[in-house]
Amino acid sequence: MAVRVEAIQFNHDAAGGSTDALSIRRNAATPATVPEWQHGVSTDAADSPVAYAIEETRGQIVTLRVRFRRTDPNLDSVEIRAVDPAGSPRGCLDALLRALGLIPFLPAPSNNVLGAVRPRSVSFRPDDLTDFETFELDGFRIASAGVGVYETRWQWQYRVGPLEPWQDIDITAHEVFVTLRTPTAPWQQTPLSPGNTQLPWVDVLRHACTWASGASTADDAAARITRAVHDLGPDTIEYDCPGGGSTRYAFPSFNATAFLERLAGGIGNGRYVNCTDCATIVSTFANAVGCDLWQSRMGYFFGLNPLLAIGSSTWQTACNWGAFSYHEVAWEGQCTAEEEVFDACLQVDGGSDPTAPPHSALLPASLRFGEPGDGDYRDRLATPAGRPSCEPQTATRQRRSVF
Amino acid sequence: MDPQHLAALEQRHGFDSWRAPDTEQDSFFVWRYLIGGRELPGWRPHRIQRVDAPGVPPGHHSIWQRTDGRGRVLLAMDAYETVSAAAARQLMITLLAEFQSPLVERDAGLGDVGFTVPGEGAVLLARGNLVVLIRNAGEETLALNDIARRFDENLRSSPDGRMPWEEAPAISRLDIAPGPARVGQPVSIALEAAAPTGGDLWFKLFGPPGTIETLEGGLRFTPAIAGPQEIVAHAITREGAAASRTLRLDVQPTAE
Repeated sequence: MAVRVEAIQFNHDAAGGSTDALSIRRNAATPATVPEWQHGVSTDAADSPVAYAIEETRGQIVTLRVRFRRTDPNLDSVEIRAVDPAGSPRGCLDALLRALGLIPFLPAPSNNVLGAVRPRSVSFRPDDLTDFETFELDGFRIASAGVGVYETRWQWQYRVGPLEPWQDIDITAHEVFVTLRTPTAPWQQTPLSPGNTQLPWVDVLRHACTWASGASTADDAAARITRAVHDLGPDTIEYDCPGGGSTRYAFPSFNATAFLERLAGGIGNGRYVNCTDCATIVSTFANAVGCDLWQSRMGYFFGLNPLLAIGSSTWQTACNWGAFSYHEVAWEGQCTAEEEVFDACLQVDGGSDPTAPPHSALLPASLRFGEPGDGDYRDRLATPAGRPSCEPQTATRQRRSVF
Repeated sequence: MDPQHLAALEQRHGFDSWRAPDTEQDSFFVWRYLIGGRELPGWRPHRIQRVDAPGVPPGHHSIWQRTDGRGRVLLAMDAYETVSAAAARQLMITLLAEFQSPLVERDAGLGDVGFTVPGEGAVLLARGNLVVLIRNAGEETLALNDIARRFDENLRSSPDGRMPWEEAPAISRLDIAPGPARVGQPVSIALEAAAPTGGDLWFKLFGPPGTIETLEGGLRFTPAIAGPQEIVAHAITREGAAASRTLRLDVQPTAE
């Protein structure tokens, strides 16, 4: 082929995210490479992860920057575009064969939320490369696709003149993470540097965007993530009855690396978690998709109603302790009684009398904390006598950094 | 840490009775601590990770598996090096605030100060300026008090010197600033050592009654009693090879 794709840069404006991709990194140890796709380096979609925020890109023309190399020195300039290989027009015969189902060997329709790359002409320099040229995306549809993990494949094509046929060159594949908004703290967008470990991690986005898939609002996304984390019990994690309900992954900061190892079937920091861990996991993963949650405590030393701790199917006060010295949840806003909590650590009784059987399990996700007697989260968690001691402790509101 | 939570925990655990270390006892200090992987006999580390975070002393978090591979048992051991024994006790309260159970109890048989939970599934202890938290992390669980006691005994024992001498580090300097040491007045301790391979070292210091602590990265000792005394320093490699050196000082009474 006379032309090849040399590199594709999706995140070309480190300060923005409205017309380009978000700043991300792989994980704590490994920064992401920019350009995100490089000839000879990127082979499958996971080699070229990119992330976009629905809110910030809404109504914008999203662009990327691409560099090409010519292998035919007679080419001075060409017109370039990229189309979805599954929907690539290849002429009447191709369309007919497709309609008849006679070309099953072609790639299945890709999960392409980035659309196509609009054609434009590029010129080659004496060193056979082009500059990084800006291309506009056509049919960018992450808003209609919603939060999730997608794969975009592009068939790159060139032609030497407007009346000439398009010639196929490379196919590139990209793993696309779609978030509601730009990730919020502890995640950062600047500085875009290898040493900034607080850039959103691909390894976190892969779980968070899957767990929140289909969500259209921040509350919905956070609720789905809360459910997903709670459902990790009992196979992956369970409440720390042996260790007194102590923090395993979130003191003093969030050991997301260990938690990801656990999610991948490894040891991590072990199988036990407490409320601080769950609050930190939920809020950190939810904030990666653009939610705005905090970790905050309530207390101190209050009696408990029967509940289902994460990983347990037995209605009892946590580990039969009768009380919590404190409890911590993912919480909205100022983390007051008026605001909603997302608690993956336990299910409360959602019935009319949470102090006694029969119990009906309710996962507190987007549930107002409430005042005693309101029938909200506080009443369902704490005994009538314990509710006054189960006060929102807004001074504990924080977002733990990740490592 | 939330002052309200702190106050509740201090009251619950009688913090006033153990807030201050007993300076009439011999002093023990750990400097530049690291977990090398031999601290728990019968166990091998799956991961040892240094953890630095604002507001918390430097720590090492580690996960351990049985060397014989029996059972689905895992141990988690976290260790934090504080600047003094008093700071270690403050950190104990901070760590107690990470337990949701209201049933955490003091255990007089653990460390200088120790706590455990019913079933001994978690142990928190302070020895000198070091704070150690040992917990079950696997599906099968063990009572941990004995494991914690063995760790503690090993920690406060002198290195046995059984490692080959060629692997031992060398202590090149152990002295104090010129001039008389006096009761109640801190003196700086200069301690320098190197491993033959250039690897990391940590140190144990055994001293007379008083306080050994670090200030701005340097060691200092505040004697509690007068008279001729010794501070013994051990430099230890990650593999456990050790060297020892003794500092003798004649502590004068407090100046009139």
